[in-house]
Amino acid sequence: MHTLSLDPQNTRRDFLKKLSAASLSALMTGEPRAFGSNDKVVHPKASADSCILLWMGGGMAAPDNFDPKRYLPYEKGRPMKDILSTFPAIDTAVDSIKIAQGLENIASIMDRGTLVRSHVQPDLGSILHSRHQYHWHTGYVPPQTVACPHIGAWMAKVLGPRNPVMPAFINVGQRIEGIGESEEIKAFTTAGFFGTEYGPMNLPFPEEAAESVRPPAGMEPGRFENRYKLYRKLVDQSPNRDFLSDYQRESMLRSFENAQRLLGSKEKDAFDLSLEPKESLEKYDTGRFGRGCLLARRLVENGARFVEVTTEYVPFLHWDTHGSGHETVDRMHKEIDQPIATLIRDLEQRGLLERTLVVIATEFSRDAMVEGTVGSSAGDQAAHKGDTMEDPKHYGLHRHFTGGSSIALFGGGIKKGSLYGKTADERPCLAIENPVSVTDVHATIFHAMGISPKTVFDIENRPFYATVDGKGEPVRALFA
Amino acid sequence: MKRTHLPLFVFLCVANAALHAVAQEARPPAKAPDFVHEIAPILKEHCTECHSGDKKKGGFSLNTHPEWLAGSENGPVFDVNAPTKSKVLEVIFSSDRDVVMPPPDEKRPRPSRAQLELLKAWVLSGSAWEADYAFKRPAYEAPLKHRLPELPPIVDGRTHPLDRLLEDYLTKHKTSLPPLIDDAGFARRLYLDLLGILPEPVVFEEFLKSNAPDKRSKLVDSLLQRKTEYTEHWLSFWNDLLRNDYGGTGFITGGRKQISAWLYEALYTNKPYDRMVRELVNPSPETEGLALGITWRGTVSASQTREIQFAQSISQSFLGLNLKCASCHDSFIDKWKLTDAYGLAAVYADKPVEIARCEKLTGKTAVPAWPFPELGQIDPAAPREARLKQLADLMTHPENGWLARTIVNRFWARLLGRGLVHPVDSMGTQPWSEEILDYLGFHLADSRYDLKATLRLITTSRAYQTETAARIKNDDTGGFAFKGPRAKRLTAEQFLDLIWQLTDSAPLTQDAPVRRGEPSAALLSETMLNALPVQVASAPETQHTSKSDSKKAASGAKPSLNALRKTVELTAKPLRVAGILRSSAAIRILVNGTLQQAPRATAHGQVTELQLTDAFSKGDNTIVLLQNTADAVHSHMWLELQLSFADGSTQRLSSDTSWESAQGFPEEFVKSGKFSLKTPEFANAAWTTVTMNAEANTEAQRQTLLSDFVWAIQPRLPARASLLKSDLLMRTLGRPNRDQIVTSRPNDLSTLEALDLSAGKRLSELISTGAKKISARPHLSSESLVDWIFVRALARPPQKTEREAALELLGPTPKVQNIEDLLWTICMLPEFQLVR
Repeated sequence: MHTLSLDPQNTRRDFLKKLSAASLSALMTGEPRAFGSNDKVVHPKASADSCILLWMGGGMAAPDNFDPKRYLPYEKGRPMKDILSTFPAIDTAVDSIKIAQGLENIASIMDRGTLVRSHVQPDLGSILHSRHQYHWHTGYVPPQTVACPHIGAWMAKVLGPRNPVMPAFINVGQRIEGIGESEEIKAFTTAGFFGTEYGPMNLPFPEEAAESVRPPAGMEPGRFENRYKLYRKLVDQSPNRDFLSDYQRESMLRSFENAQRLLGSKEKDAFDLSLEPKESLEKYDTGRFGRGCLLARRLVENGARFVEVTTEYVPFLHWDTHGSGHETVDRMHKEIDQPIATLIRDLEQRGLLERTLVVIATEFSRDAMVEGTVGSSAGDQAAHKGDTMEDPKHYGLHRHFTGGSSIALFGGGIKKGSLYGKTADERPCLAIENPVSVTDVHATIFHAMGISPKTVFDIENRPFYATVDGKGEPVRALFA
Repeated sequence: MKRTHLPLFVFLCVANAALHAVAQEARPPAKAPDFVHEIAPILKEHCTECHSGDKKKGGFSLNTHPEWLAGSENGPVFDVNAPTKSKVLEVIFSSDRDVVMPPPDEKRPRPSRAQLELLKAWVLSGSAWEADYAFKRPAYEAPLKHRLPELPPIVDGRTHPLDRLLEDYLTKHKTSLPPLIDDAGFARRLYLDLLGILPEPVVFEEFLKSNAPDKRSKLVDSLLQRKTEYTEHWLSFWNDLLRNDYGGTGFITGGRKQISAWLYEALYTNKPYDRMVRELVNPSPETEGLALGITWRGTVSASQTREIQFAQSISQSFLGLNLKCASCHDSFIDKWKLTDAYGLAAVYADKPVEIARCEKLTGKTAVPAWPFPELGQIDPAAPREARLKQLADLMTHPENGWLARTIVNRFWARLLGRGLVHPVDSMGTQPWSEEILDYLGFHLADSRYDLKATLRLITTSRAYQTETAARIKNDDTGGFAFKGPRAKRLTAEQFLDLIWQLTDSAPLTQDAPVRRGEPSAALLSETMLNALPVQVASAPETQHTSKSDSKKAASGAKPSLNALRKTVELTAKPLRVAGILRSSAAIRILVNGTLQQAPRATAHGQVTELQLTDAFSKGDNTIVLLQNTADAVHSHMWLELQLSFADGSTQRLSSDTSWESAQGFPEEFVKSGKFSLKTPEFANAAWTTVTMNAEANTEAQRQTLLSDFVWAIQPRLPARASLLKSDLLMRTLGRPNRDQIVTSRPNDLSTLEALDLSAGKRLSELISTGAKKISARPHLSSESLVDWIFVRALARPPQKTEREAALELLGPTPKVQNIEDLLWTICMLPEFQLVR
């Protein structure tokens, strides 16, 4: 029984002990704050140096992808409740693992990683993509009283860039202007209170990525350099000499130097997909996502720390199937299957897979009947609400399901050819073995990258942890 | 970690007492232990590090006797009536590592058995305390009430009250201020701080030439009178503080409301601050945006319910208090408790609120209260409206110095780069000068909360007018001491505004639903209003207004629509069409069959400004107004449009008795884009001439409408970034997502920002548009261009070497791209990007 202690967790109590001793300067400079009974946060030994998150935005249905259930083809008049999977299962490189038809290439590389079938999300009452995406990308369920940093920003902040020239956090494929829910997407595509230094470099169109590290369009060679030369000259000749010592001014100049360094570096070529040999490009070129995978590979080869590549979340598009699910997922398979497999093989061939963690994830799964999870108060969001299928567009998993989804992890110290967790074979297909929360998935990713899930920073004099309350536990069984 | 060293004599006392206690077992000792000599040392060694001073772990402090008796968040630790049942005994003797106090720590020994027994004896004997004994001097307690500091004697003829106070501070800290900034630097700083723009050449020249001793104060006064620019600059500050924006989370689902129109007007009219606060705390429909917060779809954590958001927002925005900790549990870092947050929430809540502690319901119902009972308290039994009024009264109570000090501190931080209290949302923290803070707070209240008076007071002081103090590092290690104003980075909005201003290339758009400036007096005197209030000629179906009918309409029966129409022939496509529409019922406007953006459904009696430039074309144009008859019977409407043509001529389109009307169109008629002027049921309806509503045609109404009309048709002002939705460039430059209250902008420029500024498309386009504008100016030599841009952007002419470097890039006859490059270079200079 607890009486005096505020929180049963020793960790918390101890943290607070440290907090009280903290000086104002530490608060201001945002140093990692001491935690636990030791003076320093003890970071685990990293098993990965880079991380690529392949994001299936919109809710990838596990039964139609990595966790196939009983398959039934479309048939007019068939009861909806009979549908569990709309794709038959196929064999993979691992005997114990079958995945959905259409993912043959990924099937062939399943022996390079671990499949987790028991990822679970909270039921937030209204199953809203943007809220779950916010949760998955920051570890915190919105709304929050402070702007939470994206996990990529945590890596940028705690680990910094792998190569000083390369931005540490690069976000590929997601437009954050001009599409539905863009404000909601912006809310988590950010370093939050860490500040923009740790924020994402956004590259919504992989094929245009080179433009972000290239002088503005229309500038002939030499002009860009001359412009910067004049800039340096004017800075040097400024009459306010004593003012030059000012911290703010110095940091401003340093940032321009960093930017200029990237723009003049050989690493900037990593952003330019036109430099990729044709046959290699073709293996990836299934669309924006495919090209994003290629960009991710090139960036990691050149020292990127964290790259997210998304199939892009746009309401009611791509994985966000509220109707015509089967047909759409078939298209999505074609978009993701070959590039993901090629990415894994390429990283392996280049000897990078061992130190690169690749994660395939999504905000929740889908089901033909259950919205949210069993007993949820969430409103049904399927377009067709009939009991039977009357049209091919009714064939698919059109409801958001939070009771069990799949994630796949490759490389970066993860076990090879392994399966973890299990969902029920019959509806509701809940995770019935080793459920893994978002918090623990994050702890696992952070652990692999050598970041303690208990890492904590102060914001508004309050502790803010890498995983909620510092309580994330890496799933040790996933590591080799 | 430092260990407390126990003086030897204490140790001896403890040892003696321990023997004594052990001998007595659990029975109360004959003589109670001596608190000061026996107990306090044990508490000091083992307990007070976490439970005294400003440390209140578990909400428990034993710093003073009352605090010891008050106990922890989970109730008393000492049971006065049954000391043997005191919780403190349970925890100090516990064998459970998670429970035992003090918490297990390898680096320090547990209290000895003897010490524990001594404590037990003390508890059992009634825990006597030495009168007024406190373990630590109380941490700084920020005063609540106003205080007018005594002004120190005048030194060196400096009569300004802030400088008299500051002089005293500087003497005490054996430091001095940098020299006064030169006039040009002062003008640039003042313009940017008060209006967010660069000095205009003419005013700037005049100011520099003037020999008037009070020319700086005069400039302050004249800038503060420029209402539009002042409003549109400070709007960003207030939008951040009141988390108001024109788009973003919550707006799609109607879970959020703007206060833009009210805020703009409040700033424009310099509404007294206490009135602003009053109107936001006890809100009307136009000010309730702040109180409503953001309603998220689905379930939210207990600390983000509407009521708790209210408590957090009100306390942070107006009192600089962070109740975010206390929204989940008693704060560990300050004195605020869970009940403080919930008390404030309960003032606003429309039903009883159950207190949740860290997401778990406690079964206790929150009692409406505010955190400073010294000034009075909310009547928990009063209805919600009364409670909110009481809260507004308390918040703006004449003796509430906290309210005034919070806002003057924010202003000081904005103008001088760092707050008197820092950070600005920890108003419980000790300011570096209580005198200056108190004086500013008192002065604001004494000036009837005239915010411009505070801005004037600060900007006319020498404290504000010196050169900036250089900073070596990004911290204040070793304590902060005021050494002069700090350079501030341009905000995202300022940065855009400056580039637009420099190059005269601001767009004519705006996202903020506000009317800018005021109607021009000249235009008012020469403009007539032609419009008449007109209505449907007869309305047989709607004339009977029995209660059941209006009830039916209100309960959501499909409303039927009245239509009013008019066709005009135009000899050319107009360059601009602007005007007003006023309707006593919800109304929609269609031009040539196309529904126009605004107004979809105006509220009763409100005037809507119309800007319909692209809707009209050469030839016949038909304008149709669809009025919602479910809203009102005998509803009338006024429409006045001015169409301006390329040849300079104008034409009016006004509601009058030449219009036609018909009735009974279904709502579906305009939905799903199926409406067409040729739709038979529309074209063949029973059209009759409208009638004028003589009753509505009052002189007062006509005057109001004329003013609104003039407002709508006068030339549009160039955009200010504060009136636009955030875009990628503004986000990059630190404009916050206003999902949360954000009271300070980033001070440093990050690498990604620099990358965006070096290679990004948006800036490159801005610069390119601007350069074209500049190059289009007549007879601009390279030399004069360089001089002009330096003076304009940096408020100083170029030095010889600078001029040469710039000329080298420009060449004798600069091309647009050379101007682009020079413009970019100047705008990237720290000297440009910092307000120094």
